[in-house]
Amino acid sequence: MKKADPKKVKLLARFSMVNLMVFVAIFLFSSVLLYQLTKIILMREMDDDLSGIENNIRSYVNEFNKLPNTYPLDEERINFVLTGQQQVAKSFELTQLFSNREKKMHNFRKLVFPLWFNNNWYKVTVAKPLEGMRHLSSALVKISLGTILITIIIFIFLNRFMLKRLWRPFYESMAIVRNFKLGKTSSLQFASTSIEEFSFMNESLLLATEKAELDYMLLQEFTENASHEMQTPLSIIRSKLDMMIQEKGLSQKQSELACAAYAAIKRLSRLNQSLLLLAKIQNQQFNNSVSINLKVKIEEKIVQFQELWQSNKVSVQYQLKQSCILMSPELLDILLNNLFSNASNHNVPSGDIVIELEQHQLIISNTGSSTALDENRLFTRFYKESANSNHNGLGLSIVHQISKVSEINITYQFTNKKHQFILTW
Amino acid sequence: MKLLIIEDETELSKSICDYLKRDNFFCEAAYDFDDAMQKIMAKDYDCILLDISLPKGNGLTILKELKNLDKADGVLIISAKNSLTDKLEGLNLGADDYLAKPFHLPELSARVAAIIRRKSFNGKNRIVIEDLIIDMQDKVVSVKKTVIDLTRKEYELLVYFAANKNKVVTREAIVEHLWGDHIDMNDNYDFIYTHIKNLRKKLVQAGSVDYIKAVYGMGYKFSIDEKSRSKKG
Repeated sequence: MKKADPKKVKLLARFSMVNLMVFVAIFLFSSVLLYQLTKIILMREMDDDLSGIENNIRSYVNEFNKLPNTYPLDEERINFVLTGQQQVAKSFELTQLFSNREKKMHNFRKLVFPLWFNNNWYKVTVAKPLEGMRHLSSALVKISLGTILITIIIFIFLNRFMLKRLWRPFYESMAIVRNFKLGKTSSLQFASTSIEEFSFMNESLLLATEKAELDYMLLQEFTENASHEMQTPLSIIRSKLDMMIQEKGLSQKQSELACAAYAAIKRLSRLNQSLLLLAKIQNQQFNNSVSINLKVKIEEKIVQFQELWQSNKVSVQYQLKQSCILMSPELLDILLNNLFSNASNHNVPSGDIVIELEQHQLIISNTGSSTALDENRLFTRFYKESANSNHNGLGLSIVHQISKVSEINITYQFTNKKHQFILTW
Repeated sequence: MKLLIIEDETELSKSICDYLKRDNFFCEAAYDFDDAMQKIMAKDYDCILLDISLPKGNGLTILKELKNLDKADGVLIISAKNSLTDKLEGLNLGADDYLAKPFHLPELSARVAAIIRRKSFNGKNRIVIEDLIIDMQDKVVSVKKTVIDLTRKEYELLVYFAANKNKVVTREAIVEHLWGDHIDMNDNYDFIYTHIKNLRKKLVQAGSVDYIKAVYGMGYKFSIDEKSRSKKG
């Protein structure tokens, strides 16, 4: 799962990122808006307040025909300045005045209006402190930012927590699909999920894999049937050849021709058998695993192959330790046949073969061509070293297939001028 | 000796018949299921060659019927399938042997000979070719009472030739008989030459006629004079 994590974070992180940015933007915007609106509203309240005081002053002057007293300890500052004949305009302003309470300069909101009294114009200034308002605004902003922060933190933790839980069905399904191999007879089982999208995904995956499985089976059947069909004409040809060579008076030329035909039939027959075998192996038709004493089996094989090796003038050394393997006995037989045959058929006169068996490893080395074989293509079908060799190039392909279904790991190495096949299980 | 060949490919059936027939050996052919059923119910055969992939009915059904009729021994299954399950099923149903197509006719002949020997004498059987006596039970070969010491492969080779008297047998067929066809011999037939040479030497040294002749470019032939009596005792 480690490799998948960056991708996982990417999707949800990207979503979260966008979410977060929008979220933060909204919050910042609304904080600013809130701040500004609050200021405006409070300012308006303040101005209404000041206007109220203006009205009070005007009624007082009208009623008592004198200017009201001002008290220096008041929060409100009321000031009367004689302007003579000059009438000032009414205005609201911000100003800085010394606050008695705070003992320093503070922001005040002042109203300046003209007052006609005693045949003179007066400039009246009414001012009130803005501090309360500032504290209020500051508190509002702090609360807003605090909320944003807490929201973000909760969001992150929630993401981390939800992450794993929500995506689990997806990753489980992906693991199942990744392990999917054509040719396994049991169908895929997905865990049931309550999330609609994942359920849909699982359904689709199941459908797709079942279809692939079906197509594969049909193809395998076709291959098998085609192979079977080929056996009969091959039998007929061979039987006719077998009859033809019984004829008396065959010339030398005719014998040679018959011989060549025989050889070709044999190759064709071998090829057909090999293809059929490959199809069967891939079709899981050899699924009878048994524990086999490998040491004994290889010893038997060595006896079987003695003559071939001797006639090819190849010397054989072997070192066998106790070893067991769990696989189909038929497949093991074919595997060893192919490997041993190859070891001698691709050898050189006076060459040698070395067989080393350990508990979980088998190494077969042989001398042969002086260049290494192409590792990448070695196990592919019809790979042949030389163009017109007698071998059909399927031997190693079969070895590879058998290894695959028997859970054996096979590798090729060219060391010390020897071709080595190393099998481990 | 009566032989029934149940095979739907007429050409193949003909070849088998031609190859196997000899003086005291008669071949009959059945080309489909119904014909085959008819024949097995009507007569007894010493050996039945059965192709299990018959059209219009599985050959195994015929085998089951033969088993019911208690005529199942002496059946050699020939099949294109070569599947282990088919093989096991066939042998379990009482068939004697199983040969996959494409086969060599000499191989078929050797298998038929083995079946007939077994049936006729139930173990106590010998092949007698003029002065040559092959005791199948003890696996001893002797010429005029002289026992010949043969290796296992030489013995099997001799029996193979005995089942294919006067027939040209390719080296290929011999190799496949002695070593099976799974071992890729790489068309190297020199060691066959050695085996045959040794066999011939041993036979001749013990006083036997040198029956085995090389056929140029092809293989070998175990030739005996047709007129002399050869009894598969």
